[in-house]
Amino acid sequence: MSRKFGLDSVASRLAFTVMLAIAAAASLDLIFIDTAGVWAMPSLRNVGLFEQAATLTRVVSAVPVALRPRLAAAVGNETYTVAWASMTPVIADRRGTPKARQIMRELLHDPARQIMVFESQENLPVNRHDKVFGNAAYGMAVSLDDGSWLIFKVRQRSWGLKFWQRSSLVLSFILISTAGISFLAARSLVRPIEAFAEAARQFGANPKAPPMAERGPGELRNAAQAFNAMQTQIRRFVTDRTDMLAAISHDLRTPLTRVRLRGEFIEDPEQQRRLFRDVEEMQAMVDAALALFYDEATEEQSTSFDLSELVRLVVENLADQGRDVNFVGMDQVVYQGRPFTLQRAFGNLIENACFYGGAATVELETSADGIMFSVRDEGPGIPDLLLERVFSPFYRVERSRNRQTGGIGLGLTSARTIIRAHGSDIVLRNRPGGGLLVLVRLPLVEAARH
Amino acid sequence: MPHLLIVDDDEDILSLLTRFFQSYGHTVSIAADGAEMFRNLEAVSPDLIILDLMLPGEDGLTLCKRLRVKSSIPVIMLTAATTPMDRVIGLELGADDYIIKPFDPRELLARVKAVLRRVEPDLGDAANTPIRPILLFDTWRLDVSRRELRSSRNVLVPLSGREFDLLLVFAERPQQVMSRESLLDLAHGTTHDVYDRSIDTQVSRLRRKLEPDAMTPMIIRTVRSGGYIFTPSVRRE
Repeated sequence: MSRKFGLDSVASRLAFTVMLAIAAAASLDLIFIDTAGVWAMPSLRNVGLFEQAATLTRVVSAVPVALRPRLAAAVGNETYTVAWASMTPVIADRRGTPKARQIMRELLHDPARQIMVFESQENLPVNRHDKVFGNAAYGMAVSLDDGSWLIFKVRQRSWGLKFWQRSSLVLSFILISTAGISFLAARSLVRPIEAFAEAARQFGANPKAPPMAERGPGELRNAAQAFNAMQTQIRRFVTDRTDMLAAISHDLRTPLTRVRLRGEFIEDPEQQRRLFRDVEEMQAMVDAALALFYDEATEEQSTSFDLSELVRLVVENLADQGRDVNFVGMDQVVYQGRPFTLQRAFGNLIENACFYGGAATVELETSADGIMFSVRDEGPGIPDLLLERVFSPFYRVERSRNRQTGGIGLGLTSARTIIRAHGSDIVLRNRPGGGLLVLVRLPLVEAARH
Repeated sequence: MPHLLIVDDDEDILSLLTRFFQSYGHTVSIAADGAEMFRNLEAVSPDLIILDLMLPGEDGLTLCKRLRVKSSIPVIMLTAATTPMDRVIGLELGADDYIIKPFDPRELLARVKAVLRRVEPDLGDAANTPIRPILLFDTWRLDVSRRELRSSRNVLVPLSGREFDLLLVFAERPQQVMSRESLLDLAHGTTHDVYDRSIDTQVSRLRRKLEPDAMTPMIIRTVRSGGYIFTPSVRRE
């Protein structure tokens, strides 16, 4: 939308924002001055002074002329003073609403009565040269029947807002409007940047993440284009390497098959046993490598499946092999994902717990925000410094341990790739009481209800 | 003794497998590619084909598909692929079993025997019926070629290979009392590590997955005289 208005760069957007904020503050101030006087400076009518003035006018008119000055002086109080004048007063500033005159005439039932009204705009003496009203806040002069005048002066307006109050009100208008507009404008500016950061994060976790949308101001669209181009290049690079390694691993199977078959004809049973063991070991490596590569290269269809049964399958398989592993989770937890791939991931995690941790307890829980899969073991755990390292390909905590204790260091790498492709991550934690805790929180996908 | 036709482009593997199977008394013919396979098929009429997936020219999958048009001869695929997808494709195109390279030749021998035993009874009408149907029973749907069990709501329930084999044996023989021995034999062949209880374990796992209440099983019932019966009727799709 903003592109239509020529606001296609961060700089012009910023300038426009500042302009908009200042304009908004200024208009608010104007509106306040124009309309807020109604409540910031209540008019005389609202405090009943008109009625009092009308009554006093009638009372003073009723007494003989000689008594009028003293009577007028006597009826004043702390709110207003009253004075009598024999001549028409000279008033310098006649800023008073015609409305006030109208009200007074109605109250006196005399539409032709001469009335002068003064209303100061500020709670300050407006015109020091005005001898009649001087520094009064409001003033009114009413002519009497004999041509003399009665002058009412209201000393101050305790009911209105003081100058500093009004000033701070205006200031806060400016601040609030500026802050509001800047915030909204900055949000629209920052959102593409946040999207950018998020896309970079996603790409870090999952190289197959979709390209980011090229939206926002020109500078950011350029950055997004560059990022997407880089992402494509990296992906192609990774794919080439992966394909090559997969091809090598794949092609190793044929010579391995030959070796395995030749082994059948070895006479020495001990040599034959060792050769078979070597073949098995190499096969395990090829399998692990291929599994890792295929997870990246092939797309298993996502489907809804019984995750509890999938985890139980892995657990029971290991238990059948004599491992100390049990499942204490919920049944019939349905999840939407790629079952074979996930089976390999959970399999790797549970196998690790069995191999390195002695005994494993596998849990599966559901809550409002997802499914929590966890594996606890009774082993020595992993030094905190290595908790991240263990995910690197071919990394093994205890290098001295060889094939007897398991794989070649691709299990966790592969598992993390799979779990991340499902929008989650693997968290490793050393338990306070000893042993390792593996946590995977799977986000609930919409269709995942039983 | 059955006659095997082995199709592989690797000469060493051909000669080694030939030697191995001959040492177990089988007659073996070989072929290096599809054309040779079809020639030998008519010349020697083998009982089973062991077919490599990766072949020059037409690959194993294509050959398997072409083979199925005219013959129901059992096929075991040799595959270097590990993904379940490749396996599924092979089975969908009509292979009876598969084995992943590198393999223990004794395992291949066992599968040859198992496949031959499986196809023997219904040899007569095998050419007419779909080789790998979808079986429907109770609220369940068993896709034989994809080796998938799904609920009425299309939720996949994972099965181990042995559980699937056992369930398939049941579903292909509904309302028949099956002894543990025959179940073991039909599901896993003669090579199984013979201990009787393993069938009971697998049945109880299947019950947990299939039965609404595993305590009072309705689908796979225990027969007092020793064995199990699969009670629901099975429809083929």
